[in-house]
Amino acid sequence: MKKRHLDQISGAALVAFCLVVYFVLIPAQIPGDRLGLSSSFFPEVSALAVGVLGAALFVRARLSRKPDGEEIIFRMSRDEAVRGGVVLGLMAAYVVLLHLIGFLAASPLILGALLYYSGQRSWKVIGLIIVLVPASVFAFFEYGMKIVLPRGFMG
Amino acid sequence: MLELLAQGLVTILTPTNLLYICSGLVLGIIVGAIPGLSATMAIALLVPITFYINPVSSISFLIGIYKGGIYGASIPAILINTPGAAGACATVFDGFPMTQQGKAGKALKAAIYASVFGDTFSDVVVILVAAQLAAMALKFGTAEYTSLLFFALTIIGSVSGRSIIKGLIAAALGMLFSTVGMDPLTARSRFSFGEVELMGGLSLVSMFIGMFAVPEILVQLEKKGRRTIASRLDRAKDPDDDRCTWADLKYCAATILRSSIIGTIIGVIPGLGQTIAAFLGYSEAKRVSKHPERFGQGELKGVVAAEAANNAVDGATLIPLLTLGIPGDTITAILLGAFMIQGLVPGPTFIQDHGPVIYAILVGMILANLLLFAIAMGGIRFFAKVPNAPVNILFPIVFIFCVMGAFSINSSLFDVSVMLGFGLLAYFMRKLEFPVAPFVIAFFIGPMFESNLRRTLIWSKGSLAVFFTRPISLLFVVMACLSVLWALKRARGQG
Repeated sequence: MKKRHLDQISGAALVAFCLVVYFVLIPAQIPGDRLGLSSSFFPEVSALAVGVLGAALFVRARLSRKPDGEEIIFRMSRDEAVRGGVVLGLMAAYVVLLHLIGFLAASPLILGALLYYSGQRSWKVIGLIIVLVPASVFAFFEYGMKIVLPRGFMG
Repeated sequence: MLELLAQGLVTILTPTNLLYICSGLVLGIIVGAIPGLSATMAIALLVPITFYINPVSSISFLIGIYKGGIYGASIPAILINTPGAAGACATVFDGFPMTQQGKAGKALKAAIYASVFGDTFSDVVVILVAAQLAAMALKFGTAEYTSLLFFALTIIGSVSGRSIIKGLIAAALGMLFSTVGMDPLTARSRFSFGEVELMGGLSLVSMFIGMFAVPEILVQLEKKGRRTIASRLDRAKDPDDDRCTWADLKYCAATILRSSIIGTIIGVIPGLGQTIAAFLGYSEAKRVSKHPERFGQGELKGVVAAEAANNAVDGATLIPLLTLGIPGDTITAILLGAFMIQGLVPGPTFIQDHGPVIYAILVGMILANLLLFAIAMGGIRFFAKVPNAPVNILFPIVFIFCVMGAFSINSSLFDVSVMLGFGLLAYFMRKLEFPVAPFVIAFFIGPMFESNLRRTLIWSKGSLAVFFTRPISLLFVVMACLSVLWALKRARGQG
């Protein structure tokens, strides 16, 4: 995809975001009057700044047409996008698993999956890391810093 | 001041503090030397731990990571042609050719001398000017402070990244996100969506870790393949190529001093940072050299120019932080968070209110430079191997630390979700080439900017003229406009 097209999409998305914040979120989330220097004044100014600058980005990208050979191309391979998505999915799954099964059970699962996915194929290395890292983190936080880590349904 | 410095020396010279500084330095050099990991990421991850340590030890520890990290980035730049951080990009130009000529030992040792000198030079400047600047800032009213913060925001937005518009958008987004939570003047809840956790605002630590560590993990783990060059420091055939001799230091002395001055000046200006300082130091050394053709071919002056300049930024960035409460770059933004966690709020009265603590930290900074010299020289062969660390093992482990770091401040999984949210935002910002620094700094400055702006407008009955009729305020407004115009001119010049 051409970089200027991506900038146009970003600019349009920011204008849409500004409109949602200004007309939907601020009235719903900041109660009270919207006159003068009320609580909504600064969020409104910030949202408008995002919208105006987003529009400027859109216009600039639209006007910066260059001959095809000189266009800057944004490249992200399908493989990269899939890998990024999977890693992100594993990160989100970790948060859910921490809620459900707690730190000691969730960490080896996700750590093992991330290690395998990042190219580590030695089961000895993976096994050692998924045991040692969660155990040392648990010991450090629970006994060293007296912070109770998530326990999940095991309570 | 001398009395406070002596008191600071006594405070900092305890075995515990020295241990924290040394640990910070070693950790900093290691993370700096691993391409992909950075001092910023390490500091963001370790801020939650410092919550449980006293202010002097914790800030000295974090500053140790900062200093070690900036120096450490030069190791892979010299040995494997890959800078450990953007600030070491200019070190590559002559550092790697020196390695190819079998002079890696000389380049690494010269980099240590230059880094330590540059850093110490800027730390001394901080000690000399901070109190005076803070005393001047005490005369500022809310109008002056608002204009100053506006200037800081525009300059950070304008100079960070390649596009001024994108920098300013990032700053505006940071300000918008900073409004989540209680209104600083009326204590009315904003954007809390009925969640109790959001009423106190978005967690700073979750924001740091999310913005700096999570996108790096995502970017590293989405890549396939490994680096082929192994990092090692072989013994040179000629022993002189392994040493940085007295003659070498004499040859480079003027360059180191010039770059230290450049780095210090760049460091004081919010938003510019190590990379610009290093390139300016390097290009200035090349410009004044009698043999500019040697630059890029393994010229020792090229290495020391870049290293002295980028390390001289370290101390100088603390000047706006300590005197005005304005973080000049992402690392000082995180340090500001660390200060606030300790109950210390930087600003014009900071030195006056917490003199002994601040001077202990300032003395600790100079001490850290001496320790950096000893540790870097002593461990040079070990640190040379650090860039070989297996990234595919490190990043999954770093992720577990990110989650626990975000969790540990409030024992809340909600904060972990906030961290992931910020991580996703920073990942897309990075892909779409929006700079992260203006976002983070605006997130910090936002509440201060809002309360000063609203107080001024309440006092002036809504008239904006107050910003133009007070001389100091007008000066900052003019400087803000000039910074945007300069950035626009620069952007036009680059096509």
